[in-house]
Amino acid sequence: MVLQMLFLRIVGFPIWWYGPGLALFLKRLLQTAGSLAESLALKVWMKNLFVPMYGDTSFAGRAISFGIRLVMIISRTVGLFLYAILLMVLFVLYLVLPPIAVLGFFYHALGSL
Amino acid sequence: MPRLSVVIGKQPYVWAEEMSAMAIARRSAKAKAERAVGVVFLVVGGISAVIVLLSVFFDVGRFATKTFWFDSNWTAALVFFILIMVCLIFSHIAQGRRIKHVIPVRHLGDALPQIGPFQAEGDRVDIAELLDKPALGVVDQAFKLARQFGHGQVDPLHVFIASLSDDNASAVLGRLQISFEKVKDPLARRLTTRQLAPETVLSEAAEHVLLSAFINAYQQGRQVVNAFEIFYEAFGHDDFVQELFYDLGVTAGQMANMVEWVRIHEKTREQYEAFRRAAQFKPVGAMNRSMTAVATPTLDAFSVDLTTVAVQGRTGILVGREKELEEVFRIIEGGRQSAVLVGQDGVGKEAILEGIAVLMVEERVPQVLQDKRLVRVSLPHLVSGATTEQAQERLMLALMEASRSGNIILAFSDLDEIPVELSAVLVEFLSRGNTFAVATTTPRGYTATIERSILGRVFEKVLVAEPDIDESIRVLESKVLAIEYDQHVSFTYLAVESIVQLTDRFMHETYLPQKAIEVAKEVAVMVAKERGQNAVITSDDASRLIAQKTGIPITRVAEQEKDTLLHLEERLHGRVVGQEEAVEAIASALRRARTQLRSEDRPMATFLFLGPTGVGKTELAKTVAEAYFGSEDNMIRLDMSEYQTQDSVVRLIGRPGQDEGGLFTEAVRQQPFALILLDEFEKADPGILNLFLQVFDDGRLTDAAGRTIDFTNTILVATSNAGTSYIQEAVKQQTSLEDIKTHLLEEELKGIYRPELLNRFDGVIVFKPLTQEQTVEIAKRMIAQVAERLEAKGMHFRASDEVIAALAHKGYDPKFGARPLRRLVQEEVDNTIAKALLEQEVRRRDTIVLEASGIRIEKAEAL
Repeated sequence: MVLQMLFLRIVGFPIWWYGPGLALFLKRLLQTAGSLAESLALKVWMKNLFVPMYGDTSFAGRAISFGIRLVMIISRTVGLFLYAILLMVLFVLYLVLPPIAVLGFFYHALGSL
Repeated sequence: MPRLSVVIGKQPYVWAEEMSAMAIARRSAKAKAERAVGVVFLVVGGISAVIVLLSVFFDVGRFATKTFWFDSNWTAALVFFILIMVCLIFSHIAQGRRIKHVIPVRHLGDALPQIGPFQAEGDRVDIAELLDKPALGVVDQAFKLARQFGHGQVDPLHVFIASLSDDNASAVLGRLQISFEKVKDPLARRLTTRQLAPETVLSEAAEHVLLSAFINAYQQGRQVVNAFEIFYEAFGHDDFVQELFYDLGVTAGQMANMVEWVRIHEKTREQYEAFRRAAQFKPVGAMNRSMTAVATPTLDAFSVDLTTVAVQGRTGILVGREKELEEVFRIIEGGRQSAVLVGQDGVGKEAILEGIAVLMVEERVPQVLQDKRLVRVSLPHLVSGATTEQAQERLMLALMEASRSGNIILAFSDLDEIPVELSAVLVEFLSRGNTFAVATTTPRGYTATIERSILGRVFEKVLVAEPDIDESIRVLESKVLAIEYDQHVSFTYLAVESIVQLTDRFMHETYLPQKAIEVAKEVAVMVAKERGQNAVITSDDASRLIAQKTGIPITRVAEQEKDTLLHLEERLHGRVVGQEEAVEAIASALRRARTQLRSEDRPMATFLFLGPTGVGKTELAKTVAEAYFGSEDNMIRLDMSEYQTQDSVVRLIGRPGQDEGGLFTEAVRQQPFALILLDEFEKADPGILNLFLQVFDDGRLTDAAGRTIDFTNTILVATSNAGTSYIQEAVKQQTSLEDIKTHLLEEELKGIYRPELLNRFDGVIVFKPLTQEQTVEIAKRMIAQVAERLEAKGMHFRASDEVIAALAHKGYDPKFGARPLRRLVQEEVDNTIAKALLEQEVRRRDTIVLEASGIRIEKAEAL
């Protein structure tokens, strides 16, 4: 039974890794991205782009608000973007990790025989 | 093959797990294999890692060299091998997770699914995959138990026994004060009655248990089914188990409340965790997330930000009240209206306000309330130390700020306290539709200051009723955890239940659940002081404290008291001579009351005592007060001859429009556990008698201030001399008591009392005129009383039977009963003794002897 399962885990590994495992990993990534987006509240900032801050409805107030909001939106977008890139890197790593590991192992093992 | 199924959405859920010795063995072997494979991966990976570490131990820099990675070598091969192992372990753990589905989320208002027969077509989810590990363990254990006894079926009984090992289940038994020892033998006996068979299968009833547990988990919004839900359902599916618990004093209803308690605790913990996650996104302080808000310094000075309080986790959890919340949200969403929560003090209006704040933090509120804060304005702060104009200015400023800020929902506690000058400002502001307010008030405050004033125009009423017993028990359960933590004690379920029930029955001035929570706190402090830490609070502790607070003996009928109750007649006869029928009727009424067989929404007993003066009517009433209520002082005495006109109603129940109640209602309010003696009942105005109809019928009376006075713990005794001459005449002619009574009710009393009033008495009791012998007996008692009084002064008193008989004969007058006798004793005995005392003829230890001629003093020997 143990051997059977051991065999299943090793042989079935690629199928699981690129099938259900991939889906699971993606879901986790999206969850983290989602919660970051929530805490940056980008949507709220976008929606209020033309709404003056601190209730200051004078022209100057509006102008400054617009500027600040624009800057904030841009910087927050950049932050989110950077984070997205990080997640993408993780995702790519997930994809290439098994082949690299296997190739590296055989390259070195066969080479040093 | 499944027999039953539950459909949620379109997805059928069934119990498809194979139940056989083989299957269970396979499952456990699989679990073992899984662990073993994990260990293999870990060990192989670990050894490789150690080798790699050792080989580079002295030369860490090697990792950074190009040759290490590109020229073939064994160390690098091992590094890549470790990577492979890491991948394998990751996939192994992820695949080993048993639970791959979760129970679907139930949305508010979704109907609960029903268990129906299984339809074969379509794909289905096996709920075995939705059971957490302990829950699955319970099912396996139940099966093993059935197998062990050779039973043909796994029944709910097996499942129940297996589930007893669950932590929460044993907590339930602990709180219900049921030890495993108590249920062990009956359960074992019951097990031997099952049918035997070589093969064991899951019975349909057991399948029903598992599916019901699944529905419960769905209803509770859980992701998986736990062993506790199985425990509860197994309990509910087995009549024998229920009967067994009933014998141990636990009804199905109590079990349901107890289960709710455990659920509340779990929910509190889960909610707290979920809440902390949600609260991360809620800004604290004046600013909203879009930063459109404005600073509100004036408002802040006179208010508390409830949303900030909620983010900091300083609010309690709200139990129930979905209906009220929905109503408030509906009013606010409707636009142009604010809501006022109307309910008595202590029913949980503030808790609802806090509940709204909590929902706002989680943003589980209608659109108009999202990204807003709930700010409670303190009216007392606003008006303190300010003239009317200043207060108006402050309020106006604060409201302006709220309106400009645009992210503020206002809350007002006790809206009826708002000065008239300010209410106009508030109404004007709210009717402009700038923001909304949620306020609280009492029903009295609502009718007095809101309903018919301009405030009524903008505030729509949301009624907050006092929660019923079960709801209050659940609220108290949610609070008990904190009390237990503070005082290091623990409550049994019965303690919680009796606190709610007893406060509901005996404390009518305040409201549930507040009064129950206060009492629970007090009991905890009391028990912690008496018995130290880790003490267990039982229902006896609760009734003891409530008895202390109210002066009502509500502790369980103790052995000694049983004795008193059973021999009540003798006790009553100790002070009342003769009148067997009256004494017997009273005694049995009291026994009914004390064993709680009486109906609880009427006075304990109501009697009409009829008979000539001086035969012991008042004396019997006093004796009852002493025997039942502990002391003669627990008697409220009204001379109804003082209420002969219609307008004396005012003295009874108070003058309308004034806050103080009447003489009568106030007396009963302050002493709700007492005997009420209504002397000379027939003399009162008929209008006043009508007032008592309600008291006799519903056990309550409303005073002029609108308070309901509770009469359910009183005994009402009305005495009357009506028909006296008839009684005397009839007794002389030796008519039977039964006939006398019939005649009285049908003829004599007709013109005096209305039949509906007479009908409402539990007993109309006729007191007979005293006979010569009874007068002698009374005389003896009076002499004994004299002796008792002298005994206190250290002197003795004696009188021979002949002397007493002569005294009784002299004082006997069938018209006036024992009264002339009392006068006679006063004149002939008390006066003479008093004179002797003043002249110092008697000293301590002397004996006074009453003789036909007067008194004689026997001097004691000198010391």
